[in-house]
Amino acid sequence: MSTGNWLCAYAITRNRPSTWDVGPAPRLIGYRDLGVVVSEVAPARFDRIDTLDPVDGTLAELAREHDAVVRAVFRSEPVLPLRFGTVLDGEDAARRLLAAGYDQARDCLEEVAGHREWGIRIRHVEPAATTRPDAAGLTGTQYLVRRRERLKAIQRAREDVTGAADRLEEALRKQAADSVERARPHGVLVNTAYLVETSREAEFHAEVEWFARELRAAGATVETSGPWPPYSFTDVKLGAAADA
Amino acid sequence: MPDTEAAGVPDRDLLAEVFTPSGTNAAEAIVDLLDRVVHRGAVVTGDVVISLAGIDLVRLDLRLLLLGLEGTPG
Repeated sequence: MSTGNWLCAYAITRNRPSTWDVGPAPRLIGYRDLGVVVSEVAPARFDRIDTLDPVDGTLAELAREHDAVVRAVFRSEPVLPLRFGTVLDGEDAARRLLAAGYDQARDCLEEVAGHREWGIRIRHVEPAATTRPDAAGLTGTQYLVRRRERLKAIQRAREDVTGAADRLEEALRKQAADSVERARPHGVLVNTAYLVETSREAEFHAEVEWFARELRAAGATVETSGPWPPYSFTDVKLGAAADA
Repeated sequence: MPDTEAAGVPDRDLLAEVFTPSGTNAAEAIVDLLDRVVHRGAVVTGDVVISLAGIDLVRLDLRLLLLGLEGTPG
């Protein structure tokens, strides 16, 4: 592994005199009308990265630094965020990357320009169907009736929530340029990222508000996160071979 | 989860700017951030990039951890 000049790369953006303010360290290395935002990094910062607990603060701190740089550029220019941990082998390597990935990077940057990412998460935790009604003072038949009513109510609530969630997703897809489903842990019914043109954000959020009321009434919660730089909409591989 | 709480302290301002507070707590805010920064974004391949030892393991660990963490109520 090289021990020379490491450049931590954050994002690809337009090659323009920087109007963004990210402090003294990050700078732009340009090729034609594209530039890659980099800063010098001591290899030791990434030492033993595999032993860092992802949320114990150390990795979270590195990730926040990355996000802060991407975000600072994103305030004034479109960005194509690079995945955390992209370390380039010096300035020449950065230029070769832009040269080799030029068409792909430029197309992707064009697509996300003027858009921001919003995350929508719908959470619905059902009462366990195995919990039993209090049997005290009930006859056997009454108990069974009560139990069946309870199971029916759970079923009805589930149908209400999934119905409203489907309608919300359909409405949001109409407002968004693109959408990506994200991992859904237990209790999360919908976890989707939307790429929304800035001029359509008001309508997008109005739709969220409208359906959130219906979903809340049915016992679910709707969470919004954002605006994000378009992290979830940069599904490209930019490669540069040795002799490129 | 004391760990995530500690991690949330230094940059509360940044997070406050980023997240619409509609029930999202600090731990989930970090989950959203890590998932995007560490798992998403354009990937660079080839000899221009220095591969960091252990980074793939970090991504895998994080994925498993995030799924568990997010599912934790409250």
